[in-house]
Amino acid sequence: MTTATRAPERTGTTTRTAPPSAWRRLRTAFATVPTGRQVPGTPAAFVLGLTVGAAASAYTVHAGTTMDYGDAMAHLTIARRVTDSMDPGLSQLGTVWLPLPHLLLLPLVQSLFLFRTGLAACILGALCLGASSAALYRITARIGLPPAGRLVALAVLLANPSLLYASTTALTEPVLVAALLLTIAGLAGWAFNRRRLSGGELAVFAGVPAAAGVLTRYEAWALVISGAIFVVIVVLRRGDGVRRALALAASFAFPPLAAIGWWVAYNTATYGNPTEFLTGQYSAAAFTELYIEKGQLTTKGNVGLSAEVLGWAMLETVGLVVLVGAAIGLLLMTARQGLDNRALVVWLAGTSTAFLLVSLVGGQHIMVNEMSLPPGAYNNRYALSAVPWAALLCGYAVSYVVPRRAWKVGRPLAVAVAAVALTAQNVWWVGDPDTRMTVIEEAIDGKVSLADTVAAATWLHEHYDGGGILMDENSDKMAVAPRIGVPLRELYYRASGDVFEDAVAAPEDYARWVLMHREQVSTGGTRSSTDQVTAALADDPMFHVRYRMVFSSGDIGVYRRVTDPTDPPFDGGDIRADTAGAVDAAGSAS
Amino acid sequence: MTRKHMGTPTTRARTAGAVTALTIGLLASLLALGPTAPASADEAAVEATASLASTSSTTVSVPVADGITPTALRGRVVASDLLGGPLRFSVGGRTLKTVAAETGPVFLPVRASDVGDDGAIDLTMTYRPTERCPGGSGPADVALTNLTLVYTGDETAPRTVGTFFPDSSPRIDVSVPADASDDLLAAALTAVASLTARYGDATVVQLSVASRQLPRVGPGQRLIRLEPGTGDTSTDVAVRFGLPTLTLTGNGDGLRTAAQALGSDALTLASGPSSTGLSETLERRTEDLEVSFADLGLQRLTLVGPAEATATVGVAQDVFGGPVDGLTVHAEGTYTAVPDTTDVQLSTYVNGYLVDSQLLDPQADGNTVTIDADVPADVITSDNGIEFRLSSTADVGACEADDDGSVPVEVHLDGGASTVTATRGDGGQDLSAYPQVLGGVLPVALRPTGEDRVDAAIDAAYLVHSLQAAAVAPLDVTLVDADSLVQGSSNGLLVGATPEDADTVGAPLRLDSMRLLDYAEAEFGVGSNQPFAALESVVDGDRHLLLLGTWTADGSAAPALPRALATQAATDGWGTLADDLLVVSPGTDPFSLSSAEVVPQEEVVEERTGFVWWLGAGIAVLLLLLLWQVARTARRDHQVKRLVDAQERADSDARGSVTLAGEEDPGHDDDGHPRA
Repeated sequence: MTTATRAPERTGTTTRTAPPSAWRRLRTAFATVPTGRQVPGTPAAFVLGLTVGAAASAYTVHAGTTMDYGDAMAHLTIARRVTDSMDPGLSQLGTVWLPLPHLLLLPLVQSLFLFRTGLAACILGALCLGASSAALYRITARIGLPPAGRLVALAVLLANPSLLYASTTALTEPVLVAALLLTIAGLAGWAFNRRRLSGGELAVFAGVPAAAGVLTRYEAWALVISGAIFVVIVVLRRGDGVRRALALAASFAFPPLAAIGWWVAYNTATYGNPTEFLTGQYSAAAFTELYIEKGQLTTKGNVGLSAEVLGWAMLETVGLVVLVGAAIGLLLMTARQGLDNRALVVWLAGTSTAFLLVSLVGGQHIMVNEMSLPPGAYNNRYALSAVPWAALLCGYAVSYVVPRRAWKVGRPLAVAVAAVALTAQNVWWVGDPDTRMTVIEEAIDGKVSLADTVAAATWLHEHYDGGGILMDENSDKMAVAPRIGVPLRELYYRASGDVFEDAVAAPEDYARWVLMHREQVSTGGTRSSTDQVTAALADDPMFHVRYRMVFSSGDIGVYRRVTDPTDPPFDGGDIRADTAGAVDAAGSAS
Repeated sequence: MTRKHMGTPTTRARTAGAVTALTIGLLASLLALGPTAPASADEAAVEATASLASTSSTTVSVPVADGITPTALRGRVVASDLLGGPLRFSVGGRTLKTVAAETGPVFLPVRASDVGDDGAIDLTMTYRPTERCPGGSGPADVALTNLTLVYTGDETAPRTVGTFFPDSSPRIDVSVPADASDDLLAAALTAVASLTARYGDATVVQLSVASRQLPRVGPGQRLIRLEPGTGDTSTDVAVRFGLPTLTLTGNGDGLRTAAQALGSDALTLASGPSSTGLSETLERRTEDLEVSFADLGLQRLTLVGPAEATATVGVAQDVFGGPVDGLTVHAEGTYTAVPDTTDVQLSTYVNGYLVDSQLLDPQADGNTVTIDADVPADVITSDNGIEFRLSSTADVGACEADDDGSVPVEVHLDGGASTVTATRGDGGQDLSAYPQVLGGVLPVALRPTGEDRVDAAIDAAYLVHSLQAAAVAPLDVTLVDADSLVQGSSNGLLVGATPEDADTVGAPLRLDSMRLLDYAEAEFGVGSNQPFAALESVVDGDRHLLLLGTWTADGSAAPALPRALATQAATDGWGTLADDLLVVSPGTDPFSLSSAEVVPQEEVVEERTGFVWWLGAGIAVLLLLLLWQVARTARRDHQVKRLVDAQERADSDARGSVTLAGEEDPGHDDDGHPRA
């Protein structure tokens, strides 16, 4: 007797089917236009950005280029000296730069290894790139871009070698880009959520990232204004009235304003001047003042020249291919959507670029490249904040450049064209990065200009036997503490407070080692760049009796005390090096 | 004569007096006629230096003007190493003197018979100590400098146009009247160029006004006078104020082509003291991008070992008829058999940069060597030197085959088969782009008028001389209108440029108040609002212009400033000019400067406001698109509204028809629902 197998009856219960594969889930996530808080695909985008950042870090660490920028070493030092200094405390954050990047680096640079190798910056940079990638993805999903557009937008962000390089250094641009994108993602999530989110939710999801931004770079201050305007427009369009609009705008602006308030309070408490960051001797204003006196801040008051200089910086940073795609996207978006809410979200990403233009015209900062007068290479990395905007516009272009009836074939084709174009651009860039990528060009210039100091710092790292080092780390080309690679409490420098002046007055009582310019700095960018140690000691005959020069490279000298019998013996001899690292014995220094 | 025959006292006194007088007279005549005691000895500097840097023997040709008698050559031996051994000086195989090879003066007696048929003394300097090899045993750093010819007598004045120009001349002046017309100035500039092409940079060629008293520098000096005239151009040879003078009289293009002929070899055909119809038209230059070593004057290059030996080929960019940004060196040759125990290396350098190196293979069939090397663009300069260097591990002291197998090594490079190939470039921005960017043609414009115009022409002549000395072929120099040059599209030289000229052509340094970047100010000691003159290289679109201009705060003239620049270029040579600016200010020497070291001037910054129109245009396009989108959206909304309104009216009409009449509504059922 056989038992026939019968098909299962459908009696109101569903049949069991195999769960979808990860790939299918990812494809579904990419195609979903989210209306709630969750945006499927976000974790994947984060992991992608993190992976790309880690790979970039592996490359630059291997190449030894993570600390080519002098500013990168300065940021690492500021972060570490908050806890490791003769005068530790938050006052070590200083006022030259906004504090958040240093606070984010703070836990990482507690490891001397991560500090002196620059790996701390690589870790932070990779995390920022992951956050930027996730936020950008969320924005593209919120504004309804199809998978093709989302993919291209991510590719533009993650295939930009200048941004990738910056993400492996301690420069502040990666943190800024992440903060900008997180803020815009928060605003987009609020604007397109099916549920009307509260002011508190807006403050958390958009206001907090904005607060992080305002404590990172001044470009984010402009985003607070444009973001608040965006909130007002969206609320008014919903028909919720002016009062509601202002209330929600205030909710958004509250965290960044509180952050600004904290920063002003910090300046007041530390320097006695609430606007020390604007007017102090280490401020950007002091920096640009020197250029104004020399007649070299030619972008000030000149809209045409400012636009040309900024445009060139964008060309060499964002890339011609991407800029063309972005221009197409901008025209398409304006023609199709005008200034609806989705378009306004994309325009938010252009806030930092507009701010840079206004800032150049206003003479608030200086940017130098081939188009500037005089030409050179300086501060072009500021244009990196335009990469997210360009990415969004390129994603839009790929999504809508073909007519609706041709989407099925046209969009994949557009993605393919974008991929080929991006690849070609990158190939062209890496063919001669020194001249075609201004961010890399500036890094190389920095490496060359710091070569002597780095050589001296490296030698000191290898031969330091304790006893303290006296140096003016704030002077021109002397921000090399990570290269020295010793605990910062061993250094007598301006950040040490009053003890620095005491050490300069009587170095033999404080420091076994002295690192200084052998001749006073004459081509520094600001008045604060003169070497105070050189000013006090270079022409002091007693200094040269008490100390012997044991290493020199260019105009940088390393001196060791010879008059203290408690100092351990030192047989390093007199060594002179050229910037290429060749070493040969020399006679005793004068 | 015996005492008995001495005569009376009176007779004796007369006799003594006569003998004394005769003796004095004889002595006087001897003094006057004696061949060993010349009345005076003059010296003339010789523009030549003998160097043994790459060989053991070298010969320098010392020209001797007709009519003078050479008596000695004076110079200074400079030996940087304590070489030891003798240094031998000879002429035509006759040893003049052998001295120790060490730094110090040397005096070499010569005689008239040492002058060859070419009118020169070929002085050979040889360094060959016993421990050195006959074929040369490495560079001997010995040079004979400050060479001077000691002579007596006066130069035989030339009597014909054909013999007017000597083989060598220390100085040639071209003079024009103080009120010279443009015809004369054009001819004068052409004369300066053609004479410089003839004699090179060793001869001073200058333009001056006729009233100027000229210095006398020795045999071979000449004066060319240009005078206005009608009809065909005539020439006349005479001696004026002790200076052989050739006068050209004419006008228009005839005078200019006659001036052009002054540099021609065919001039020797003019056999009379005067002539008419003298003319030369320059042939069009070729623009071949490949030249052989033979084209450059080297039929063969020889390097002789066993130790280091070098041979050099000079390649000016101008030989290619224009600027280049790439060079490829191809050399072919043969070498002697190399012992297996010896490594012989042949290296090629261009401007000191190594471009090729190879070991000569002892096992190779045919013992031929081929060099193919590309020269990086950033190594190439206006005037390039290709150096072939032969090195070996052979024993330096051995010159004959011995148990170690050390033998002299020779490499011969075939000048006909060896070539230099170039790729055309745009010349770049700097002064070093000249003269090759000119392509053999130099239009010159003078902005000043009146009395200052001749002064400007003199400045231009210095620059023409400097450019021609750096060129490999005669430049076709013409005088053009200043406005035409400024507004036009051709290359050229503008002397006396005004601030408006500098603005029009977009010069890197405007003729206005100038400041230098801090470090440049400190280095050059100028800046702020001091007067200055500048010679600058301008790239205006596709063309290259040279501008010589002056700026003073009160607009006053400062002729000494541009003259200082012009004479610097002429004296030091165009090849010494770097960057794109040569600047001078009162109290400073002329200095080279990059325009990037100048604080951006107001005019330059103002010109860069134009980009705002592009920004504005972009914003305008976006605004127009926005307006179009708004209008389209409004129209669509209006259409939708009309459709909705129409639908609503239709619906209400349908409901109303059933209610009022009770008649069957064919469009709706009894419940009012639309019928299917």
